[in-house]
Amino acid sequence: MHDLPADPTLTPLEPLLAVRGLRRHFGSMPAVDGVDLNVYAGEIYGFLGINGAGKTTTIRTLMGIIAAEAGTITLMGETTRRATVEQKRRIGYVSQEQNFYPWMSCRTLGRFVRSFYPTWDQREFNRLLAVFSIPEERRVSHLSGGMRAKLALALALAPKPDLLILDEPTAGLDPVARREFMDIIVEEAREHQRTTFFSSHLIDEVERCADRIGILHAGRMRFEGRLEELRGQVRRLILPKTDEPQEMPPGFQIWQERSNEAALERVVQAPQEAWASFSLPEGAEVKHLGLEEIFIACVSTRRSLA
Amino acid sequence: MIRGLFTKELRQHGGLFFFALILLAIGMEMMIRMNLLVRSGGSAFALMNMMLWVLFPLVTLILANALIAAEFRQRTQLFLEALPLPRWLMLTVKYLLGLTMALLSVVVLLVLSWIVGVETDAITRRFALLLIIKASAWAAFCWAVCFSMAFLGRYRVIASVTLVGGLISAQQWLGMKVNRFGPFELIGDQFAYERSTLPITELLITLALIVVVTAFGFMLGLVRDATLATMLSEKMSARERATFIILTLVALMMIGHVKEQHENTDPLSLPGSIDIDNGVVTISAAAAVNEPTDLEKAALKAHASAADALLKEVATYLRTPKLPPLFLVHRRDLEKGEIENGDLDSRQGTLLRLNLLITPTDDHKLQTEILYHHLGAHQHFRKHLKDARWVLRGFSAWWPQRGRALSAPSATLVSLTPTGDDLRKWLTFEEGQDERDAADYAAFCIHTLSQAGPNAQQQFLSSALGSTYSHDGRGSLRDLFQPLTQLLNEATSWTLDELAKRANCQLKAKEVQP
Repeated sequence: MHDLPADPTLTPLEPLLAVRGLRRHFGSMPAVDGVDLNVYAGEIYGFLGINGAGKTTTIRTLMGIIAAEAGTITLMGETTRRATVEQKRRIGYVSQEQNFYPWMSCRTLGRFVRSFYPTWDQREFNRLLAVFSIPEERRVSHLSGGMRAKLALALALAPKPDLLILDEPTAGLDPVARREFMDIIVEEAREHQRTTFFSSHLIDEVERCADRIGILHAGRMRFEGRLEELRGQVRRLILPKTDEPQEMPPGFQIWQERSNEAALERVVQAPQEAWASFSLPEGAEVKHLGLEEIFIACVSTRRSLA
Repeated sequence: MIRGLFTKELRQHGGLFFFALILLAIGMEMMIRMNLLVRSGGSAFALMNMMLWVLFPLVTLILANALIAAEFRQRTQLFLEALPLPRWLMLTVKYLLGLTMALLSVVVLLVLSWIVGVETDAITRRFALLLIIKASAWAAFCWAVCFSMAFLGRYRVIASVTLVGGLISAQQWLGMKVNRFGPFELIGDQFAYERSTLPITELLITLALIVVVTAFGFMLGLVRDATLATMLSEKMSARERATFIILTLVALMMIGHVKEQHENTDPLSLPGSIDIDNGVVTISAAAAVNEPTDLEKAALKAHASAADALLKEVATYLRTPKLPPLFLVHRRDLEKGEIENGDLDSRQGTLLRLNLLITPTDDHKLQTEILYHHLGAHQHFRKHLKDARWVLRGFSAWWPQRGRALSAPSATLVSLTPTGDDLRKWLTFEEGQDERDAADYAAFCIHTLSQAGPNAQQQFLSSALGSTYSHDGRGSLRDLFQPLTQLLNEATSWTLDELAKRANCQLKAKEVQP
């Protein structure tokens, strides 16, 4: 887990990317249902959600690949319904699947993509290919999944974008390649103070790399904030079993509940101040949770934390 | 940006375009080798006309598939869409590149035609200009149609086949003059010969069509951010495939029906024939000689009467209200027992050639042949080709000797013990036997049916041979839903195996021919 940079210019009040009320249906199915999120300059934002939560739809909408039905996107201070060509030139994008032209070599692909970005840095592209050990002359169809992902990253970083958007970039990679890939992203982000927004369903990945996270479930944002905040807000409460119904004080939300013969276990969310003033019933016990447990409890309830 | 896109498209599809040009050149060369140049009136531009009709649409179809459909199918359009590039620009580049390739193909065809026809055709400047304008308009039209179709993804083949099939059907069977309309008239009969008049109306219609069709293509490619085109490019589901197959069958049957309604099958008329029409069937007997003798005239009359009586009786027995016409043609050169089938269209009837002078009117073989061919034509030869052939074969052999003891079977036939499976696979069984034996066995089966009662026998034969069939696919569908085994079971409650067993018993009880 990294702390947010101390430099206040990197966390201004105006986010680099702000999404408000984003909505998109596929047929009668709401894929994204009123998403709000903020990504601040210089931070690494982990967009967490299970498969089918709406992460890819949100990102494709941000990239203007699909249009939003409602809501606004503010990118680098400019508010639009969909990303303009000018805005897209300042974004580096790595998609979940690398749908490159298989007949192109890495060099040809770079040359092709270069024509769309005035800020393209060929030396940086060549450097990245060398760093990633990708042979320039090799055809895309002859690259492994991991190499393709790295090539996509090189293509996304070469124009020196202000914002890097990655849609589950490590999907399909083995654990070693995944770790290596995420390390490169974090390194690039830290070195160049590059704002990075990446989606994932892998909790360890998000926990390790992200400054702030957003949890998306069934097309809605469940939480947005720093990991510490989340850890401070959500705890496991183990209560001794009684015949009386055990109500929670106002402001406490039960996310998950299960009981056995002796005890009642609840995953409860409440503001940190509320936890501070919470008086523990006799025989009860409070435990802090890992992100994985919190995430599972979060996506198993429909109540929003936000 | 645009240069980058053009370069990429050219690098990706340049080879294919080159291949398409070679295909056109080979097509032209083949047409010349097939002597079509002479047959088409000697003009090289008539060859070009043929190429524009046949090969050119194929070339544009291939180009559209590569430029548009493949992009969606391989999902590479997602990569393009993520780039800072407006979608309309992406489509426009593809459209313009395809159009340029189509126009270049026209230029290549023109140059090839010019090379071939430089010595035979009088090529004036105006003539060349007319050719260029007409061929270019046709090329732009073809490209616009293929471009739009390519966005239909998995339905593009169906849509193309429907479009082409629909136009051909409308032209052939509905009498619509499709070939005289707009773009088709541009490359019509006069393409290679019209030297002065510019077909303004056709050009305007073509232009309007190009605009409409192109707008449709762009709409498909842009609407809801190409979500529609992306969805269409996905593979067919099993349900869709089944629906498509059913719809195709229905469409084919409908086309067959329309074809049948509109297709003229001219009734046959034999000069100097003796005709008898009894309301059920028309018999025409004629002599294939210049001056028939009196004896021959008498034979024609006698045979016409005999055939009339035979078919009228059979029609009554089979409860058939109408049978197709029967034509008997007398040929002096044929030997006794030699009967030739004239292979008419089933809707025209049956034509048999034989020597009527030396053939008795009650000749069993003649009656058998008449029944076999004529009842076959009545059901559009469906009983000839299927496993039901034994009924037709058996009835034709049985009818002339019905009510009497059947002739003694051969020793080979008695030694056989055919099963229901042999009846089911009659063509295979027939192939392995002597023709006469197979016909005799089939006749025994028909005769055996009388064991179930004369009514049951008549009911089965009437439903199997008497019912009127449609000429098109509906007839095949009827066979599919009403197989012969079902008809047999309904009339006699027997299976084919039971029928075969009973027929075998009858065979064994018969005296054997030496």
